[in-house]
Amino acid sequence: MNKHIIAFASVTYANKAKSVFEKNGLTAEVRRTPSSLFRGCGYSVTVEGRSDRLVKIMEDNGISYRSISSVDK
Amino acid sequence: MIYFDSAATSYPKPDCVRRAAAEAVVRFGGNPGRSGHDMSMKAAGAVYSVREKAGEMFGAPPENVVFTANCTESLNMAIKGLAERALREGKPFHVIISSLEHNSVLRPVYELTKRGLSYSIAEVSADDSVTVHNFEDLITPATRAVICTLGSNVTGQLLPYERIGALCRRKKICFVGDGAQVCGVIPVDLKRDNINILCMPGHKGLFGISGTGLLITDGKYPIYHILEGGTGSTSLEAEQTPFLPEELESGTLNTVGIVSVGAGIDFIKRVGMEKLHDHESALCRRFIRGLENEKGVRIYRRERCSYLPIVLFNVDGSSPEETAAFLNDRGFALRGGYHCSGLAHRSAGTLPEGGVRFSPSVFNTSHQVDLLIDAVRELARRAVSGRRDSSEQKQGI
Repeated sequence: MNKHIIAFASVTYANKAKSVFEKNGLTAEVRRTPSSLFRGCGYSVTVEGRSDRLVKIMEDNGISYRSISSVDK
Repeated sequence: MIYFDSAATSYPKPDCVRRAAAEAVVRFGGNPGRSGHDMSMKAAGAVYSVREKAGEMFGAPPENVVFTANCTESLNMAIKGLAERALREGKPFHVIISSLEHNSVLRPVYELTKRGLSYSIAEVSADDSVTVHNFEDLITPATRAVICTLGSNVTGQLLPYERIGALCRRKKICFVGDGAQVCGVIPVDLKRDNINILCMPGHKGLFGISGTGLLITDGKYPIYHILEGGTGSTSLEAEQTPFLPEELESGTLNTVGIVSVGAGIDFIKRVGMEKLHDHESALCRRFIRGLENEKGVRIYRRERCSYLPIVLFNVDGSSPEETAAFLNDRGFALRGGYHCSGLAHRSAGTLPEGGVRFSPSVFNTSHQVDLLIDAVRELARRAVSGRRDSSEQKQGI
């Protein structure tokens, strides 16, 4: 299963994503967005799952995100 | 001291709140949403969990829960933020407030009149239909918002806020609710009650520590920020962060206070809001029953009205401040005076001196209320006896 880093504009949205992922049985962690993904303050969630499922969960819960990147090869 | 001043702030705090606040000082010492280290992330997670709890309790998504320092700050942000947006869009800005408003509504609204904005005051009647009609009568094409208390901090009278909300929705104007005395005491829901912006303290009905407030919005009427600064987001932009909740949360949050509010919400859910309300209302009924026939004691309640667990009273021949001081000397904490609401006292007919407010909590007992009744009776009888002596002296008896 792919691990993803999803970048958000704020720590609130990152925590909201973490919360809804966990409610959907996924393990998620909030961390600072790596500067390779975004310059400036930002927070990300690392989570394992298919990207289409992750995006669907976020859309269903009104969570907008900046980017989603796969970190597994 | 026996505390009957819960409408000013809750005391004592539930054990779980005290523990949560003490633990937060140790466990959540990092600045939430500002750094990437574990302490900061833990603090941010703790703050977010309280957004979820508050959002669930009041019917809003967690990102629409804004933390402030108190209800007054929330109301200032809402009122001035709505006005600023209207001004920037070149729109007129007229608002309607009620005749029972606290100064935290009246003063920011009045301040805006210095910028050419206007307001009207709707009389709150004992008849809810008349009250709603009074609001509707004052709506003009320039009216942008109704800003009113959901329940008076002076008399405890509840306003028909769900009907006022329905009116606002029908007229397409924003409804800002001051839930200072209601939130945590009676169920309030933004969606069900058609409230667009709900302001509340965290330290009264929600049992948090002082220095806590919330502004919760459905997002339909955007609030322009009245404070700019660091938000931990969009840091390379000079423009204020343009999204909630950070747009309205410049500067470091009160993590300890916010966590305490979360513990207070847990306490309410565990005990049950209805049970808390029933207990406090029963104490108010006991207080009224004990004093309503006492000569020289006036209780300010109207027939047919619904009330929060608050009772306003006075003792003839003793000013509210004197009454409160007398009770303080006997170990009771009650607030006398104007309660920051000249409007409400004008409506209650208690000017020029104001009144004394009895506002019990779940931690008070019937026995404590009986002790207070005895003390008020003692004062009333002294006052009656003092007046009689004075009258006899004048007559040379």
